[in-house]
Amino acid sequence: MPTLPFLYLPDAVTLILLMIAFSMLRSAAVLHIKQELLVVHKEMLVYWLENGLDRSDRGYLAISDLVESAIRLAPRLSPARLVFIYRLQRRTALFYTPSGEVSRLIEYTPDEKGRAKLRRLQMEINLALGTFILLGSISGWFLLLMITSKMLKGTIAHSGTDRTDFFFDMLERMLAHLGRQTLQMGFAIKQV
Amino acid sequence: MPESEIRPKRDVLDSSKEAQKADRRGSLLVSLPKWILAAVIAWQIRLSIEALVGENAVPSLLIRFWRQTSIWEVASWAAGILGLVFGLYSRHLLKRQVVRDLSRLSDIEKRLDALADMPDISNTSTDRSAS
Repeated sequence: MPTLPFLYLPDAVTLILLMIAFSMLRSAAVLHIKQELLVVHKEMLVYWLENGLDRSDRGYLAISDLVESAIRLAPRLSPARLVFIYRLQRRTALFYTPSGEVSRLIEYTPDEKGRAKLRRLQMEINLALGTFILLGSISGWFLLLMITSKMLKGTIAHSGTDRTDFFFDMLERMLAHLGRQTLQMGFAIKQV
Repeated sequence: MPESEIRPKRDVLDSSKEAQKADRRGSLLVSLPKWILAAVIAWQIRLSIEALVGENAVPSLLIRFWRQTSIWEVASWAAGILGLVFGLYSRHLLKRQVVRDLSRLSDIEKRLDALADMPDISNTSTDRSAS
């Protein structure tokens, strides 16, 4: 049998498959976050209608705007895309802080239960965005590795028997923080 | 209104320019791995074509694929292709669902807005009966 030339073609096929798979994973993650945000919006609308609350309420409108902006910004949100914005944000304090603004507007909602509902929905948006930024891109996976290792170190160093609770409490706070930061940096891109 | 209130402050403008630069750098960073991967694939294809030049190209290629491909390679390609088909199908379903949810929500909001703009029917009927 004659000697066959060494071919890279099978490797190229594998790489092409990998490339398509990664881009599909990314678009699936974007669609998932959009769906989650729509569920939040729907939940808020149903609650508002069931309780006969005013839909021109500032808190309601603020959360609606937040959901719409997050849906529009979702394809552009990833740690690699936001890394330079993050560095800029650390240097200058001129960025608009949507989470702070929304929290302020929620306080104008007259109904106490409605206010609590809006606060919970805002928290859900932050958590969903935090999860998306960690799981929805390759750079997010690297960030997840870094953060998880830090959190595990913190949990091991934590003196007490409730280490699992401590870990999950830290995880929730970290996800919410990431979600807030993501929104803030996303709005900086939106303004550009 | 004084002009100073309309015109954004200089530091805000500078910050916006810097944000624009940072965003451009970010988008470059995101697109770089894709271009590198595409370049590697193109390079591998070129090397393969070069290796096949002057020889019995198609049979060599077939022999490479049919005789020298290991079971693991075939299994991974099959799994990859099945994964892609599944991914494409689930993405199609998800996209359809998102579009449907979006349109449903906006429809409900529009209907509610229309209801809010309508005059109060009960008041109108009492007015008529009074007249």
